[in-house]
Amino acid sequence: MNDNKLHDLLDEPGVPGLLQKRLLENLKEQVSEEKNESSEKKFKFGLGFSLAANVLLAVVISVLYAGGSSTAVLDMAYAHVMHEKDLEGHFVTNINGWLKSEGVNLPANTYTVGLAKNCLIGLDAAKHVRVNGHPKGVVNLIVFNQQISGSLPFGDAGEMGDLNWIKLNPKKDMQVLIFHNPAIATGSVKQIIKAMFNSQPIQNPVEKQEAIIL
Amino acid sequence: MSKSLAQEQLQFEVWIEGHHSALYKHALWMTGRSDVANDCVQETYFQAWKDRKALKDKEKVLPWLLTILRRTVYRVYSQRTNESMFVPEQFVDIVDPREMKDHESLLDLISAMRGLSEMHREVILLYGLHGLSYTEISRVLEIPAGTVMSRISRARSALDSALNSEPGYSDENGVISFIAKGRNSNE
Repeated sequence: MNDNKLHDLLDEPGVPGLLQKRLLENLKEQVSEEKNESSEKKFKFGLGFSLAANVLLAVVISVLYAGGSSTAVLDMAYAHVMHEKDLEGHFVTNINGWLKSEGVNLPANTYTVGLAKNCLIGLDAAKHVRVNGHPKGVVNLIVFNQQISGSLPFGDAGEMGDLNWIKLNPKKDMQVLIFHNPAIATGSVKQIIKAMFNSQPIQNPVEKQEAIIL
Repeated sequence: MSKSLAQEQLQFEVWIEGHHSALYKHALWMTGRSDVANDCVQETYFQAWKDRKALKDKEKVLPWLLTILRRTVYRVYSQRTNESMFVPEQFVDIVDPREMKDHESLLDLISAMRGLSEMHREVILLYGLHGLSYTEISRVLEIPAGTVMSRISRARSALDSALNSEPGYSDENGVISFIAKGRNSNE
C-alpha cells in the first residue's frame, strides 16, 4: 500500500457532527471561567492588598504607640500644628459651648481663640486650639479628652522644629500638648493653661500680667 | 473581556475548526472507539487552552496538539486496562466502509492497524495521516529523528505484513465478520 492510499484510508473515518460544536462550547466555558477567576483574583488581590495595608498601618501605629518611638504622637501633633498654622476660624459646631462645657476660660480679655478644630492625632481624637493674644507669639493646644496613646519623651517637654512643647494635665481625663514659640517661657505657658483650664483663675492681676508676658 | 483574551479565544476557535477532525481521527485510530476518541479530543483542547502560553510557534499548532493528544490517549489506555480499546462495532459505526469504493482495503487496514502495537500505530498516523516530517514527529514523540525513521520503517513493515496476512478479510478477532454481518443486514 503506497503512502497516498494509506493516507486516504486513514483519513476516511467521519467526524461526529456535534464534536466541533461541543468543543466550541467547552472553550466558551473555559474562557468564561478564566474571566471570572481573573476578576476574583483581582478582587482578592485588591482586598488582600487593602487588608495588608491596613494591617501594616495598624502594626506601625501599634509599634509607635507602644513605645517603639516615643516621639510618634509628638511628631504627629507637631505636623498637625504646622499643617494648620495658617488656618484661622472655628471649625467646631459651638466653640463657646465647648469652652463652657470644658470649663475653659481665656486667660485675659486680650486673648482670643484663633482656631478651634477637631482633629485626629494618630488614633486619638483631639481638638486643635490656637490661642492668640500673647505678645511673644501664639500658643497651640492639642487637647485630648483621654490619655494620649503611647508615651512621650522623658520630662514631657522639649523642642520640636521651631517650637517648644510641653504636655500638661490641666484636668482629670484631659491631656494637653502645647506647642509654643520658644520666646514664650515655659512658666508662662503653664500659667496660661492653668488659667484656661483650671477653675482657679490667676487672682493677682500683676501675677496674671506677668504670666501672660513672660 | 480583555482584548488579548478575546483574541486568544478567536485564535483557538480557528484551531478547533482546523484541527479537530485530524485529532479525532488520530484518537479513533489509536483507540478504536468513537466515544473514547471524542473524549480524548475534548480533553486535548481543554488542556491546550490551559497550556496555550506554552506554544512558542503558532505555525506548529498541529504537532503541539498531537503531543497533548497522545498523552491523553496513553492516559486513557492506562485507565482502561481492563477494557477493549479497539472495539470493531464502534469503529464501523463511524467509518461505514459500505459507502467507500475501496471499502475492502479499509477493512483490511482496520484489521491490520488493530494488530499493531500502539507505538507503531501512532507513528503510522503521524506520518501517514498527518504528514508530519521526521523532525516534527521527533518533537511530538520526544525521540531523536533517527529513531523516528527506524520506527516508521518498522511500523510500515509491520503494517504491510499485517495487510498481506489478511487475505479474504478474515480476522481472528471478528472485526471483518462483524462488518460483513452489518453490511449484509442492510442489503
